[in-house]
Amino acid sequence: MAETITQAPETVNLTIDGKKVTVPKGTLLITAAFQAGADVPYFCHHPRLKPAGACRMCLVRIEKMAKLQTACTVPVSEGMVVDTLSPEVKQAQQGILEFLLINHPLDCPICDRGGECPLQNMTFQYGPGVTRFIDEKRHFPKPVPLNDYVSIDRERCIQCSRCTRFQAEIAGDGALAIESRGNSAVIAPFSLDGFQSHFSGNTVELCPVGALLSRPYRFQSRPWEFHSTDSVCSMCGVGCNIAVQTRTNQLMRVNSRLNEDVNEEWTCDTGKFEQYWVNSEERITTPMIRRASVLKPCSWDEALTAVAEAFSSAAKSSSNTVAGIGSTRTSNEEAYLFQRIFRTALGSNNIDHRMHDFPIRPMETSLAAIGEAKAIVAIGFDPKQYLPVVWLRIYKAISNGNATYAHVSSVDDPAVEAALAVGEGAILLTDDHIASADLDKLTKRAKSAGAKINVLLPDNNSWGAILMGVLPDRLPSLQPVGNGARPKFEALWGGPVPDKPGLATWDILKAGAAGDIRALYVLGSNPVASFPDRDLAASALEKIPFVVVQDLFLSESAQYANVFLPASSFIEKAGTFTNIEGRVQPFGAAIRPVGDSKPDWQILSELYARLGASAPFFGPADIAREIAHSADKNTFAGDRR
Amino acid sequence: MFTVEAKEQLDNIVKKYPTKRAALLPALWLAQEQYDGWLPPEALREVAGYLEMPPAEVEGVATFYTMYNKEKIGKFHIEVCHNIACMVRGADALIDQIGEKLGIGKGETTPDGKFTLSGAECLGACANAPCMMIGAKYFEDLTPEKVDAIVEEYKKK
Amino acid sequence: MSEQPQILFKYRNVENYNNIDVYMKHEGYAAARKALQMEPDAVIEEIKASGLRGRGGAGFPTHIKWNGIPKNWDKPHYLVINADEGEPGTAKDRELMNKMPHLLVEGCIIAARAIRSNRCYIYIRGEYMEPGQSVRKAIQEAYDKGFLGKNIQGSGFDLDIHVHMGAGSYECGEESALMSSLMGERGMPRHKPPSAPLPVISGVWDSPTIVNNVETVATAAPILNMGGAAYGKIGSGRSLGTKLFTVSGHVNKPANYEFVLGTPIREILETAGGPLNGKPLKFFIPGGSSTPLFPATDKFLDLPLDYETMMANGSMLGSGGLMFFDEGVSVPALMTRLMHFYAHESCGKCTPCREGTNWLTKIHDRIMAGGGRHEDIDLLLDICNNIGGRSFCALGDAAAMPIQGALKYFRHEYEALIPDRSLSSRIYAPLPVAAG
Ligand SMILES: Cc1cc2nc3c(=O)[nH]c(=O)nc-3n(C[C@H](O)[C@H](O)[C@H](O)COP(=O)(O)O)c2cc1C
Ligand code: SF4
Ligand code: FES
Repeated sequence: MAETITQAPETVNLTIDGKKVTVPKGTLLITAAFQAGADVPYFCHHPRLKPAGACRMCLVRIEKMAKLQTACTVPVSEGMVVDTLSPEVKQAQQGILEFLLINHPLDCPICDRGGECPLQNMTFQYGPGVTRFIDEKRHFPKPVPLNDYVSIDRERCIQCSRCTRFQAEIAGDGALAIESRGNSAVIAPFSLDGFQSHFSGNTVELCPVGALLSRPYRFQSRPWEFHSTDSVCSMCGVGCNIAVQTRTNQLMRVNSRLNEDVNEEWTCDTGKFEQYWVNSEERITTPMIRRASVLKPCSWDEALTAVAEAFSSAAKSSSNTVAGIGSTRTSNEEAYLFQRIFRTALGSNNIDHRMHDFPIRPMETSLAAIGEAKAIVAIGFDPKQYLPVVWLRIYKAISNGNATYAHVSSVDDPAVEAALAVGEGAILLTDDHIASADLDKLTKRAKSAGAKINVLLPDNNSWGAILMGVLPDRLPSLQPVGNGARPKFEALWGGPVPDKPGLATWDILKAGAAGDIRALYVLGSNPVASFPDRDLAASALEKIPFVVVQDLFLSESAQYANVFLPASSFIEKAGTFTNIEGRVQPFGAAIRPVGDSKPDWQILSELYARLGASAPFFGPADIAREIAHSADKNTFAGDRR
Repeated sequence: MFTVEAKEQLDNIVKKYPTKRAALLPALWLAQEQYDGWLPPEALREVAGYLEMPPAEVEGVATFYTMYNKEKIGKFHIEVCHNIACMVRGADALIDQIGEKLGIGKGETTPDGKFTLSGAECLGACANAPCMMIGAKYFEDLTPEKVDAIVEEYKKK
Repeated sequence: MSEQPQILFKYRNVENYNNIDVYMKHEGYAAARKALQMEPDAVIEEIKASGLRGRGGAGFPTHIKWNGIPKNWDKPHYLVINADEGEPGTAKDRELMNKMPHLLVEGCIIAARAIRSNRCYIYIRGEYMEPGQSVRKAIQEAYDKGFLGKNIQGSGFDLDIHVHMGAGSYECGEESALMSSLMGERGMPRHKPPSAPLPVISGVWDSPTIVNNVETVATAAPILNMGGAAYGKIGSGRSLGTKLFTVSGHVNKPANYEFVLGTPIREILETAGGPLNGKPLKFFIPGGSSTPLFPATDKFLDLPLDYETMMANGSMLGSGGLMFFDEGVSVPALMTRLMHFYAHESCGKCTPCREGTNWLTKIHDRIMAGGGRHEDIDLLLDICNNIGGRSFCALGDAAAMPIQGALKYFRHEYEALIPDRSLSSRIYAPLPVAAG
């Protein structure tokens, strides 16, 4: 016995409701109880937050202890004997529930949380059938907006402190606090500022009652009415896993979905609240063609035929006169198809997606590793603003591991040197605006120090566009167009692939402005607004005789379109996005394409057929299969990290 | 705004503790002095900035304690203990008496901003009940006559 | 009447006893000098011999607490003095700090020496600005005379004492909430065993910490002067030594008194001048508002006032707030006031206390207003049972216990307030207007 204990000092054996369980040392009793199959009710407990023991719902009997104990705060100990089922325990839990309900409004029928409310569920399971409380309930003004996204109904609050603990412990901003005390206690942000946080939406999901509410979702739907689809956030390169919840072919709500490696269970407010553009009335949902200098609705056939004709006739004269500017937001399948069409059907390498030149450099660590770093410096960008969920990892390193952190503007800042002095465990973060020369300098220093550098790209499929080969000089998997990989693709694609690098975005625009481009395909991007030299972009699009823009909205670039092809949003299609780490993550179609719009892959596929492709693709899975076949493992594997 | 001397005082307070945050209660006391007897949100913001804390948390702390005033109060805050030891020795009558004399009720301030009258929980002078405090000063073994005289005296201040 | 040795109050009437020179002429700082020459563990041994138990309310043996401090840690150790004195009926620490602050400062030196602490905070409730000034002055005098600071009296021992003022919260007297408050947080309690280590292992700033009541620490000086064993000869059983009692309510001479633990309550009552104006007493509270009351019958007045006897009879010695009430006092009215107090002071962290004290208050208000129902009385008891032992800290228990005591002996007074034909339990409140 003694021997086994010394060999495995890290586990603890205990008995819960007569069942023996073995758990790692330091496990909280409530976790062990769940492992033993016990159903311990709880509100304030959350495995990612520090134990609070506030709600007292999880009271259980531990043998040899005078009082009932809260399972959510007690670490297990060897030989512990626990009872979660006795009448004494059940009575105590019911007593707590009765307390929680005396002041809680009975407005479940009109409460957004109704149907997915832990308090409602708990009441159903453990609660008293009748109330013994006949006095006046507590009143607060309600609901009170805390910021653009979140409101609070203080009468419903049960003071579990999940929200305040989240803001302090996970978001690291302490933007919410408990104000006042006792029966008057309320959750509140600083009175002059409101709820200033990039992560406020998480509190809505954490709140075990309907106290913290999503303002865009308020009174929009009941949870049992909508359909929930596994998806990936389209708003930045982190690729948080989300559930897209839809009803009547519209987006109702975005909730987070668990992925320990990426977002754990969080999202930023942009991800949760800024994706309602998919419902926008301003979306263009019919194809349009320019007639007498005005864009007029037309049929898909008309539009696609015009595009096919314009591109094939231009390409016939010279494949140098066609070009395509792709997107960092379309799926991998779409990006892949886009470059394949240009390279095979049009014989051109004039494709790109970049709006400026930047070093293409995979992350040297995983996202999760940032949470374990010893020293972190963000150079040239503020992670909280840009890729907010990366900040959560940084804060984790700060709060759990006492990592140092600085956010500086130059590679020469002394904070960089200080972090490098830490050596292994130091992680430098930078974005795609770092100058190559700076990055090279930094790389040398980091290498000798044993530190890691992560160049973080901004968009949900920035890496996908690169790895799918939407680059003038690279085939999928970053294979140079001129090297030995080309024959493999030629065989797969059934035709020659040009071996000279094509034009990059800036060269395409310059050539366009000089009158050297005859047909330009703008897929899901908007050079007139996003290219640094907007005037060049505008004069190029103006000058190019045939411009097709494929998008959801009539963007600035669409003003110059001869044909506008209405694309569907990411929630209307399936596919995969590759996040900043190179992790390929699938997302599903939550609703039907809005109006006459079509998913980008479908538009491209139909165009491809018109350009003479013998085997067009019938769905994203078809394309994905080909990518998986052609790309090397590192390019297209969901479990890369 | 904190005066230069107050800032110096704060620097010295911070030195007494292993963390900056621990200086919060004394810092709020100091702020209350600086801000005319109460803590407007601007004062909380200033303290938060000084102690490098989220202002929401500073507000959470300030609102927890009853002696930090969240609203402007009278120049003289009369707090009469109404807990049980004083209650059974006539505290409620004293509160009424003072209220009548000043023309205000519990929790109110005279229109001239001179007096605020409150009931207080046990002031820790039970053996000398009934008792009250005005500002930092205690008055004990009160009788209606004594109370009259005290209020008169403060009216003159 | 028995002889009552005056230990803490020995020099109570000496003029200017709060001045260090006067204090030093009356054995002052002799004990501190002694402690500085002793090994820390030897100081704890003296305290052990004295049988001293915490005077703040829980009565925990002081030497056990002190001994719990790890002996060979490089973390700082903190001594924190609980001068929050918020328990209604208790006003002894205030007198100690006002009139004999050096007793406290000297006690701090002894305690700090025993637990190898170089830093002490005296947490004084916000209302006690005058005692706060008095203690600050004493601390300054002690620094000036070399009893505080570096290398005290050439002993090589350093000690700094800081006064930390609270700001109005009864809960901050609870030792873990006090620690939160000292660290600049809301006065919310912290985890205790089995959820977290004891403060002696991880208290303020995650360091070993001792929290002691003013009176507990102040007693250390006379104990060292007279010898632990001699102090331990006073009193009996496990209630040894003398204790300060605040006698208040309906007595002719309300005041703080020092009595040997185990002195019959009747004797204390008589010392305090007997019932006010001779009016018969109805009941009394033995140890501060949180301790269940006893009827003022011979049976209870004859009880010796000590930890064990109070416990055995269903109450507690608490903090020594002995309150007498005459026939004119309505028990439900008194409890109503008390419930408002507890509801006001509940920190709000845990459900049973936050909601329970509020509910108890509402029912009391309703009963007092003539809206009581017969089932309310059992409901009150049920609520108390659902709070007791289930709240995060002892404030919840402290709110429930007085009601339990009141209903045990004075249920009839509650019943008398309930209208004969009270409404049945099926009262339907008007439907609230649904607002989202
Ligand atoms: C709600 C509550 C209030 C308390 N208030 C005080 C107090 O004002 N002063 C005090 O010394 N102890 C108070 N205590 C007891 C302390 O928690 C703690 O037991 C005491 O400070 C320990 O010191 P001692 O061992 O010297 O008695 C209170 C306890 C509770 C639960
Ligand atoms: S019992 Fe609960 S609510 Fe009451 S003071 Fe303690 S922690 Fe706060
Ligand atoms: S879940 Fe354990 S106390 Fe709230």
